[in-house]
Amino acid sequence: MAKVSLWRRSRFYASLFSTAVLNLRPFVALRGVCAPALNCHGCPAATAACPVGVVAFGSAMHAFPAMAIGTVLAVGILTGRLVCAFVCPFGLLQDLLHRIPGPKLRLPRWWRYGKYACLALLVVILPFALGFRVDGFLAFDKPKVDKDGDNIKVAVTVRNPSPEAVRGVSLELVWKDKAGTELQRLPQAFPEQTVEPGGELLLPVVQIPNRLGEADLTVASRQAEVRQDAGLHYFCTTCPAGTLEAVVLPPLARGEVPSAWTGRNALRLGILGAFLVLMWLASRPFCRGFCPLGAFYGLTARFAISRMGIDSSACIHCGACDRACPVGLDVPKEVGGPECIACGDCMAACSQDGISRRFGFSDRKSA
Amino acid sequence: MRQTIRIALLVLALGLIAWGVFAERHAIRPLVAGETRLADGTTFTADASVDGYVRIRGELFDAYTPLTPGQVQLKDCKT
Repeated sequence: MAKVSLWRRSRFYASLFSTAVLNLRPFVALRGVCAPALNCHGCPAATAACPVGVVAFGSAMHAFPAMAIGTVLAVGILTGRLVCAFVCPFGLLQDLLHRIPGPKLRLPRWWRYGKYACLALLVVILPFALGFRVDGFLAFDKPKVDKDGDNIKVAVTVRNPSPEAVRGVSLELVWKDKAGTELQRLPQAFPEQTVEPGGELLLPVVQIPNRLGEADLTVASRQAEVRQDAGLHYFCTTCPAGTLEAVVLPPLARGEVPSAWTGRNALRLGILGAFLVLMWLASRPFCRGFCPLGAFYGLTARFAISRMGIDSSACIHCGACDRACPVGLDVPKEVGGPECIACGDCMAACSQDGISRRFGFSDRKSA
Repeated sequence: MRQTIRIALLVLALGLIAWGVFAERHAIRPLVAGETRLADGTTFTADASVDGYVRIRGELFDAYTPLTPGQVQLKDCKT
């Protein structure tokens, strides 16, 4: 038991170290590469990109993210699901919450299939089929200014490069001084104006007092910001790790109360809250049932170069390995399989030294 | 058999990474008039981390193209 405890402690420190390395954004920015674990790149502290986010985005864009897929495939082939046990920050959180005393649940066997559904549906198929809903898009040329005595006449040409018509043009005339400091902002609304896709529109000339004749005039509009709504069919919008790391923690780190806890955010927070409770009750419920990255690594686990294996002849069927397993496996049958996170707890628990970590391309045990 | 599959998958993974670095290219157009740029694997990954593209009629556009002169859109993941 002492051996298991020592092993788990070393695993805890490895995960803690990985969590720190994966969140070094203020010092190291490597957003061009994928982290090996689920770590939301919406978090300002994230060092690298989340592979699940990149693949889902690639699906929505109908673009094949070769580098992201190559990275996770390489990690999977080299280590199987070792990352889940030693690197993943969300795995660490699950382990910590499950240590809190209280009633404990055993998850049903079918729970494990959820992560494959998440990978197939919410990361690949639905983002590919449904994409994003996009709005915004109004483009403005620099306004034409015609001074007329005490007044300035302003004409603005509006273009719409989007696939959808934009109705009810609203813009703001913004004056800035030579240093770029904003002096004044005048909202202008044209509720009857519609700009068709690919179309242009010359807005009516507006006349304004020549109080800021020496200032530089530009146009701004909320409709000039392209907004993408991923919808609930996109894994990232409901990912509890993303909610925690990108929605909840950043404001808390700034000493603020997280805002916008309504609408979809309320749903996300509800999902996160449900998982946090479940993490306390059951061991690693997210890893086992919902993590698409775990599902991908699980598919590669049987072919991993570093993998767990058991010497069946040494097994005395004492059940110590089953009790130590954090993902509730029937260890003698399932160790080294797609559900095994290769944490090594069973290896530490086995009194017969029958479970070991194997390395190499061949399945044959080295002498 | 597994030995062969392991080697094949490792070669495939390394090949995908190499392709991502040296040959992966995505044509990204600005939303307004301007030159199309090519994004390699690392650029695509970095841009994906801020939901950086918009797909319109089968083509990818840079979601952060400033649509108004003097405007800069802050790159930020919408998550």
